[in-house]
Amino acid sequence: MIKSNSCDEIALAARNVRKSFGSTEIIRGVNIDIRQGERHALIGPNGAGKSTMFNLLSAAFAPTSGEILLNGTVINGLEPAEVNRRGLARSFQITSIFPRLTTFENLRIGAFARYGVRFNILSTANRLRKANEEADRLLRLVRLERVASELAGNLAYSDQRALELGLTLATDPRVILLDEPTAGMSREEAEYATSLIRTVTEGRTLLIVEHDLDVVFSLADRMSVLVHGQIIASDTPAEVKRNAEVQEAYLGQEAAAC
Amino acid sequence: MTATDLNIEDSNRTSARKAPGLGLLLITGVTVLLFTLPLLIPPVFLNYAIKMMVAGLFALAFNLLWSHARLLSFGHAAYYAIGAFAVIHALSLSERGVLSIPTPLIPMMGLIAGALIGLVVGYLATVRGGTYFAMITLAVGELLLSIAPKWEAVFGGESGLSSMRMPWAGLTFGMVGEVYIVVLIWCLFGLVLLRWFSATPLGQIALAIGDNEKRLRFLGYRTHAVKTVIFSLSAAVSGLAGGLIAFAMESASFELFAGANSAMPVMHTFLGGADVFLGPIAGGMGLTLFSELASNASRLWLLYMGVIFVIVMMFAPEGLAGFISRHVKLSLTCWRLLIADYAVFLSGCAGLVLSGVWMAEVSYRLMGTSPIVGLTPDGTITLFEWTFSATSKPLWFAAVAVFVLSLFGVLAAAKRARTTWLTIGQKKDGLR
Amino acid sequence: MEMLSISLLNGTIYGLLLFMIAAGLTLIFGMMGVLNFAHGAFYMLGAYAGYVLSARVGFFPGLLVAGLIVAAIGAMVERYMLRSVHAHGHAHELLLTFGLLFVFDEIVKFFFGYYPVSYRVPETLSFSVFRIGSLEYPAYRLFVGLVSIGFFGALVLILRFTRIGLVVRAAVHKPMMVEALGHNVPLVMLLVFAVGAGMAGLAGAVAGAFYPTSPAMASEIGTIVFVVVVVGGLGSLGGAFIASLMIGILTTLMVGVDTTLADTLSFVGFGSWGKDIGGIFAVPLSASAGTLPFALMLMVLLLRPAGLMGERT
Ligand SMILES: Nc1ncnc2c1ncn2[C@@H]1O[C@H](COP(=O)(O)OP(=O)(O)O)[C@@H](O)[C@H]1O
Ligand SMILES: [Mg+2]
Repeated sequence: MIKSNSCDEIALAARNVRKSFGSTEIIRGVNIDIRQGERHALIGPNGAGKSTMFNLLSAAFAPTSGEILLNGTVINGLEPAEVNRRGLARSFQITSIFPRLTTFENLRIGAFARYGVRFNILSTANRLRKANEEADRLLRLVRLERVASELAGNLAYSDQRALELGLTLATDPRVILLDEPTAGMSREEAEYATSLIRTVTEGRTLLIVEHDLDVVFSLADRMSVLVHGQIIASDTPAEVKRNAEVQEAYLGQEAAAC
Repeated sequence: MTATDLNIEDSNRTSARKAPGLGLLLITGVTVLLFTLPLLIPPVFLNYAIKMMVAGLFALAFNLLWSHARLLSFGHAAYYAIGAFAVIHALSLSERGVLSIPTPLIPMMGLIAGALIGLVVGYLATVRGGTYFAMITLAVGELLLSIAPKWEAVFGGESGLSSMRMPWAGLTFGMVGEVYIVVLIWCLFGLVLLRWFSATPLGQIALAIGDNEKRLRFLGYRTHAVKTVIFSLSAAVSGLAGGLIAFAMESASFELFAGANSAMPVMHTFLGGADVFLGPIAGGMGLTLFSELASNASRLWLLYMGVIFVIVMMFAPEGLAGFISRHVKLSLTCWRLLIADYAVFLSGCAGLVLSGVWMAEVSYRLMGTSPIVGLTPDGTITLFEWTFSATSKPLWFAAVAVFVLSLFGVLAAAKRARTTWLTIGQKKDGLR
Repeated sequence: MEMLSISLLNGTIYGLLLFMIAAGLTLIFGMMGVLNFAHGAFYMLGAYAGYVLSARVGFFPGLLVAGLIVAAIGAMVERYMLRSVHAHGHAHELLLTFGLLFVFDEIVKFFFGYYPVSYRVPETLSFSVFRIGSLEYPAYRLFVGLVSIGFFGALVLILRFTRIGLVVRAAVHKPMMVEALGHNVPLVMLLVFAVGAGMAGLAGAVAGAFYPTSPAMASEIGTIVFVVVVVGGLGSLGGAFIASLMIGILTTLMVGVDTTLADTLSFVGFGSWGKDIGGIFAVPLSASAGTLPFALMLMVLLLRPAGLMGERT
């Protein structure tokens, strides 16, 4: 599974990306490089445009101008499904699961995609051993065995967040985008989720939006700070911490808020 | 983990219910009953049975789209009609000796024609969801309805087409009993096909589309393709249903394309209960039986059905089957709390129906708008062998009184029952 | 040439009439997200109300009262029916209005039978205004056009220059936002629904005297108006206006065309092939005028899914 960390290769990049909704420009010329195999954190105050940036990187919408590159090829204007098949998966800040399916079935939907049985109508879903085993594995991974046969729509909020994470991992992506994965979890659950993220992203590329700076500093190899639609710093956590501009624009403010 | 471990876990992990022995027994019993029906009831009723089964199958096919992908089609008459015409053409080809398919297999042509046209229309219609989807299906239906009567060669113009079932393997298909068995087998085939589909990976994906199409796209699914396939399957089974009707009637006309045929599966499905697998079948069979029986007795059947539909949409949107399935899980204690109110409610409903229908039927005759039913010259009516004066004041007073009283009874009982339900819900939450 | 100008005039008037019905439908969609299946039934109810009332209270007062009655029915439908299913989602609202169309249809058949009633243009308006060549132009048609233009003007003025018009326009775009700003959106919706139904009813009362008044008119005009609203872009009043005129004029023009599709194909050398297929290819275009709106709608939906002026997807 583990690939040699060739840090010079760029897994995911934005080049001069701009995005406007109507007349307001939300993303104002972002350049960002996510290297192959690194864990990269994206931080910034609320409304800075982090989720919008995620939408652009995962092809949920096309940038107004600029380019998004996945493994060196431009993915602007591709379908989200196509981008996923090229190895990128994302989670959503606002939980996005399948409420009429059970927890197990939710995860199995992701596993189907992985084993290429999308259009299978010749055998029942319960018979597909590989997909079921994979769903089982994911279920244990995100610690949801106890609610395996509950409808996802009836789960507690923190369980739904865990399921969201599981769904994102289900297609075995090489590049993983997580938008505030631990928001709304208890301290304990968040700690487990963080260690889980650390384990599953071993050898893969991660871009994560996270408000808890302790988590960011312990998890991330590098981090970028997005303020008002612009990247003001992009470096190792230690360097970013020292950066005066960041102190002023973000960290100080956050500290004051806490 | 051992194999047996896995099996046990599998069965409670997925939403598919365990099929206990009782269920299997019931299914076998019903199937045997259906196959022996020709021996038990006179041929007229077999004709009813054919129409009922076809209506049930049609509703089920329509509901494939709604129950899974949450797509509402208002133009399913198109696929029903095309299936019917495919079968008529196949029948007349085999009559002329051009085509040699065994006669019982000919309804298959309806399935194939439906699938093909469904593939094309489905591809176009599922580009958009929601209201747009509904409008496109409606437009396609209207488009075909406006073309069909003008295309002599394919749809037989205003008068339609007819042909004959050829004998095969010693069976003449001249008797309704034989036709009934063919229709029954095909309906069961359609039923099993749709049931099977929901258990396959694609069936699950279709369900996921109805839940959250966007998320599915980010999991690598091209949802448009999936929707096209489901649409095609739904159209195929609708085509089979239409083909079976044509097979039984030996004729088809452009009127099969009419909006009424698109409305039927919608009504049947939502009255029966869209989110329970057997709901549309129950709705289709029940309402068809009623309409066959009632349309002989009353010209107002469609009005009653429309009113019932509106009432159900307002007060019990989960439909009859949904309503029932909510009750089968109730414990005895809960039943004891509810039973009195339900008794009042049901007798109130009976009162409403009786007085309402009486008033509607009598005033319909008084209006004199119908060319068929009316008053006798001396102003009397005979309903169910009961002759009375249409303008009798005591009768009208009684009817209005029963209506008003029943209405109050129903409203009061419904209110109390709802409060009871709320407390039941709270108790359940408390247990969790 | 005379034929053409008359057709154009007829088409424009028919288009204006369509707009009078479509305006309410598209505004209601914009605000509630519900395409009201029963809207065509309001048109039909208006025609029958006009028929009954014109005999009692005189023709012109009859028109007005018919419009008001249908507006009241619309208000009741919104307040007591649609609002209670709102919680079950848009699909159920759509289904409810679908059922209502069915019920209204059957109720009209109950009272008036299946066949057209003799609802006539009044004496005062049954003369011809002018003649083009040998063709006389009926005054009532102009009256239909004038009423429609009058309502179009009134609607534009209300939406542009009054406070309630402003709220309606805003609510079409962002209902939640407007509610959050403290406006009584449910009341505005009730009003829009009633006014929309009333306009359809008035249109029915006016047009019913000229076109046949029968139970079939609900679903006939209903589907055409759906087409108008979808082609124009769901929720867009301007789009509905353009689409109304376009469909009104195109269908009216097409009725006067006698060539067949096969003839058209012969321009490119496929004429005999077209005649062999027969069916739609051999029928004069005039007979397929009913097909045109639906074909147009499919084309628009596939080429420009949001409709001519729509922004919602
Ligand atoms: N689809 C959209 N249309 C209009 N404005 C949007 C849209 N999505 C996001 N925005 C705006 O973009 C800004 C940034 O939002 P977001 O990316 O969610 O911020 P963050 O995730 O950093 O908190 C917000 O002001 C939001 O209102
Ligand atoms: Mg965000």
